[in-house]
Amino acid sequence: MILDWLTYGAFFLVTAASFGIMALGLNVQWGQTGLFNVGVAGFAAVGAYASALLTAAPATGRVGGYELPIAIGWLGAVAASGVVAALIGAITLRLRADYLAITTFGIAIVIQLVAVNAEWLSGGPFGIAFIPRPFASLQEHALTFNLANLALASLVTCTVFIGLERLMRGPWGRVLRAIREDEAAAASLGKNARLYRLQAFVLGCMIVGLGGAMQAHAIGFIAPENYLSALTFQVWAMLIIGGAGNNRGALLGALAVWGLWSLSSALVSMLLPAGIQARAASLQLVLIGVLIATILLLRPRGLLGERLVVSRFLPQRKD
Amino acid sequence: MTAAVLLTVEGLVAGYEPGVPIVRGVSIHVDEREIVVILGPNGAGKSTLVKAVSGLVPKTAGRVMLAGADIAQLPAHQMVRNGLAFVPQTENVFTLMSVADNLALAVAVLPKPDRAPGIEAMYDLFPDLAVQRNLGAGRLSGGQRQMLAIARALMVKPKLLVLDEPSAGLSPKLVELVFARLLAIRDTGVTVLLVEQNARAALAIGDRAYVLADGANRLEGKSADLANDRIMAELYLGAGQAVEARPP
Amino acid sequence: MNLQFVVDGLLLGGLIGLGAIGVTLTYSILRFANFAHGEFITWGAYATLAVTGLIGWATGQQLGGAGPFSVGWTVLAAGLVAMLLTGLLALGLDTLLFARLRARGNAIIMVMASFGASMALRSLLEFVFTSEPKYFSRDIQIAIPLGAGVRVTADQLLMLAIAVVLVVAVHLIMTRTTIGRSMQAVSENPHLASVAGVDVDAVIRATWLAGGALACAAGIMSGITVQVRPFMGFDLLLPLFAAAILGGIGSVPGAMIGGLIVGLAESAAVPLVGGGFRAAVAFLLLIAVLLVKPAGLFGMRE
Repeated sequence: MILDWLTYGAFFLVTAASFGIMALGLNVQWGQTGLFNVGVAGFAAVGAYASALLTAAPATGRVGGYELPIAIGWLGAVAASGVVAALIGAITLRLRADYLAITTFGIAIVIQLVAVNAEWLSGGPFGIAFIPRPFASLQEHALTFNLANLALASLVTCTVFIGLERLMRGPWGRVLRAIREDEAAAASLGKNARLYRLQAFVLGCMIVGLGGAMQAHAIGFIAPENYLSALTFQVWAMLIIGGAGNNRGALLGALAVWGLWSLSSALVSMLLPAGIQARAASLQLVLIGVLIATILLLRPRGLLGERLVVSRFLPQRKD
Repeated sequence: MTAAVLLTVEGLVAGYEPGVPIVRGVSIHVDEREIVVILGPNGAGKSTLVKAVSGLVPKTAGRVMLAGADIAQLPAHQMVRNGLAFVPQTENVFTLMSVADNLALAVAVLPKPDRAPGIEAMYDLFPDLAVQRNLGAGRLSGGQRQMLAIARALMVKPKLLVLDEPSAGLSPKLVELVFARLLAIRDTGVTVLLVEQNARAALAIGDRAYVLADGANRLEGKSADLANDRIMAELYLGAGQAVEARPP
Repeated sequence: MNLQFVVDGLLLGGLIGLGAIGVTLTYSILRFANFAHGEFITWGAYATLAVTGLIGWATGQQLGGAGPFSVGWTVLAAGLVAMLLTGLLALGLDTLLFARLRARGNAIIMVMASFGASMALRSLLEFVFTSEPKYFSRDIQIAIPLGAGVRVTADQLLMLAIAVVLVVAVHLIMTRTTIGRSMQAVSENPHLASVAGVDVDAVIRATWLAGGALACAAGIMSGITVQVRPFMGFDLLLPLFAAAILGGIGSVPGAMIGGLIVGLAESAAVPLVGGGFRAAVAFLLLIAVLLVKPAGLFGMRE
């Protein structure tokens, strides 16, 4: 019984970690650079599908299936999301912030459409199954398997976290925050603001793609319906609730929101009759939406929001 | 016959942000049918003063009375219904609307029967605008724009016309024209309060002037007296603040 | 060439245009992209269904169609009530959420909040009504041939006519009335507008009411000619934004023309790329506009 709980706990944490990584990627874009990416689900999909196509077994009527090692898959995920991000970013980053929001929103919709319709590429509505899971040889022993995966997920998360922390505290991070606070001032410092934002956008999307790939390998199969706006919404909720601008907040938010989500899902399936369970799932989304709006209203810094402004001497920006 | 006091400002403290007052306890008064000028070096708080009086900048202390009524708590959009019309320095016309629409918008605060005659009166006063009534206001020249901005304010038949640097960005010839216009407007019974950088020209048409510095009263008096004042010369000529070409 | 897509495109374009007018007004006056606008469309459709049901229950009348149309007077009356209710919903959302964020002056936070609100509103509808599609009428409509291989139903003609009336009405209001001029003024320069005597808060309230009402009309159009389901508005959001940006933010005629272009393009593309990729058409149009002329056809700013 305890073993079951531990096994479940480990699996829960692995999923939370993959969300955490997505939130970290989003934080590079929003928290550090002030870019509003409404297409998180799309980039997660790109990463997931890229990795799946590289590592899974071949299937008729569909490209890919090269059965490469998982590490290659994850690298491919990072590369693919980076390329897509570079394309989108090059077109839209010179425009106002809300045009970026609308465009990323659109790209996620198109990506999901491609996933549903282009069966030769993505396997269509049924998605891709039998995605190899890390430590597959251990699958017989549920606890060991999940703990091994947890160790891997923790390792990846820590690496990304430490890497980002160092990046953010270094010169690159300072320029990003300066650009976020006041583009005119930053431009006058001689930095090409648009190039820095593009870098932040691409880096963030690459990390989101990695998170998507990790999730794909943790669960073993993916389908287009996993990458609807609800996913974007969940990751945003995690970042906002945990605290935007703060990497620890991103991870904490991922844990908190995923915990809330899993708990409410579990309660729904335990307490409610099967007939209304689908409707109860909608209530979960209502609650998360209300939670986001409330946090934005009352405590926009989230649980662990960034306390530092770029400098106490820069005037507050009046928009 | 002594003129009645139209505008009284006492101990006004105002600023964009609560803890950072730009106007720190300024007092002025304007009598009916006067032209009063507010002068002072850059950053003295002149613009902020008139914007605060017009309801655009928050006030934290002081009194503002217009024709005996307390207008300190009035929101900006009620000012025109209470006799005060403000002409901002920049972005003072709606460039995306036609001249006619700019005027139609302004005159909407008057009762319906007065609207059409009100607009026609403006076209009589500003024949240039009549000719270009369907042109987008953004296509007007600098001088015509200023005329439109003033016409827009006059439309509501204000008791007090407040202007923020009406000469800004205009050639000397246009400045003469605008100021001549202001004199004519005063002669129709409208009181005028204006902020100016161009001290010489302003003192030429003003009856009285106040000089502000660092958000407080510094000097006041009749124009003629101030024009010869030694401190004025220091503030304006010593600091190189004399009439200068200002970029548009 | 089969010209059927023209009819379908005009209809789709008309309803996208109605929604886009609301988007362009709120975008230019409130200065943020409102992701919850799609939900006004959906709520409008469901509200009309609900009020129609209420009228039917209260009057005990059979809710059949009137004449060649599949819907009767009750639906149109319900629609008017629903337009008011949706306008109030939009206003309520502003009062609860957007107005308070507006005071802080950070536009992108409002966009974020609108994204969250859209999720909450849509899921609430899903909870109450389930995701099963609903219909205003089960009557099968006979398509009338118009020649050149084009067929149209009486419903479609009615919806088109109503859309035209609404658009003309909005255009006249915007250009010939005080409230319309006030809205243009606030959209260009709110400070100058106050100085000219415009009550900016009142204009903002009017904008929400109008935007909500027009969205409701679009929802009714879509609901009658297709179906009512929780994602109907959300699925229109991308075409709405594309149309508003294509037409130029702040331009009401632009939004309508943008809507027609998007609608016609989507309908024309279906025989070529299949129905699955319709939404991609709107996206491609959006990208094209942003690349070539971000200010749009009639936009004058930025």
